[in-house]
Amino acid sequence: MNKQRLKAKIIKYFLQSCGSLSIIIILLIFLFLFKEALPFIGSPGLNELFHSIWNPVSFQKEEFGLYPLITGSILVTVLATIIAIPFGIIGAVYISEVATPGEREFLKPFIEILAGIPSVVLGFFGLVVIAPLVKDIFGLNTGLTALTGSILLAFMAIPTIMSISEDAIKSVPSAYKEASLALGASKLETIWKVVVPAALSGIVASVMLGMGRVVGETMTVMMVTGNAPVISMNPFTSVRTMTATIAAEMGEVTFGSHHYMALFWVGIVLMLMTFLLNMVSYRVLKKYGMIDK
Amino acid sequence: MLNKENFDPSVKLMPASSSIAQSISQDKWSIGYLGLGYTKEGNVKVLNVKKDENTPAVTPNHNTVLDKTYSIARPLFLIFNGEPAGNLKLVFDYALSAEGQKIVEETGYVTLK
Repeated sequence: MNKQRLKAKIIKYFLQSCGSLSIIIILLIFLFLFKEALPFIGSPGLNELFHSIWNPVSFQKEEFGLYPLITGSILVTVLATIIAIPFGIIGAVYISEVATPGEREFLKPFIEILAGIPSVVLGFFGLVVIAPLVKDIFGLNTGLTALTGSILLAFMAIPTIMSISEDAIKSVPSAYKEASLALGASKLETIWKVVVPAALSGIVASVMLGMGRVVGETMTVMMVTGNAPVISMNPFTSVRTMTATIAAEMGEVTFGSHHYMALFWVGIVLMLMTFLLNMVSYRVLKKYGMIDK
Repeated sequence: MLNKENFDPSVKLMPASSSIAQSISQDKWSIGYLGLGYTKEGNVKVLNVKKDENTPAVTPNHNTVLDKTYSIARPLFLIFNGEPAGNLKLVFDYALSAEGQKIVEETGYVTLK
């Protein structure tokens, strides 16, 4: 009997440690980021991060201003979200409300395939196909712009938005729909004025999760946005995101240098941003009962 | 380069030489700096470079790189921890052999001699 109890206890602890593994990993990552970034506070000082020039390798003066990287990430993310929202939501509405079961069975695997395309492949596709297209359509000198990156990132956000929105729309009680139809509303009116508003919280959360994915994406943006660290809100300029900066420069940097530490600060800012986005969307999902309390 | 001045922030940084070649061959008025081996294929025009104001502009090729009249060339290093031995030595010797140097030439780069 006692042996049995011991066994149960061991298994319980084992399962517990498996469950808390992700928390431990996150804490360790944060710890490591801060450990590597910390000496920057002493020299050259934290205010070096708060200005508008990122030029970490220079014969003149090394500059570690994070603003162009942050605005670059924000511009690309916001544009990608704007592009992805209509496709994602309308797609979700179609799949959950309009499509026949046969169509649904056909469409859903394709959305999953889109979600599973490796980002390098998407980046290469962007470099060879989308960039020249953007260049020709808008008459630009180069196709390597924030817009090109946003279009590709929208491809990555659409599956996330679609599948979670679809769940939200599905979980709208059918009594709402039936009541609306009984009152004489057409199917379209019912969908846009009853079902979608009722599922709005889930849709908002899906959009935020999609944004979380887009902010953290590296390879695709590095290949197609041109990586010029300028502060710009114009979608037709080249911009540099935080992720691309880390990926492009971490391989070349001298360990322990100011540049190295600055890159870790970029990582900290990036992690805080994605953390915040995920927190907010989790809260929204939880509040409306889409995640078990 | 640039008398050690900074690049303008709007200068693009590409993740790889192949994407530099790709964007030079597609974009209007683009100019880039990449390895000689990448200039063999594609729609890329090689420019002549002056060392300073008093010297003539020089085309990069086998001879001008070796006699250092082309000013922005550099050697490529193989770095080992200690003396190469065993398999490392095989790689090292192969790179320096006539056979290895022939591959260097075929891919468009400059051989050691």
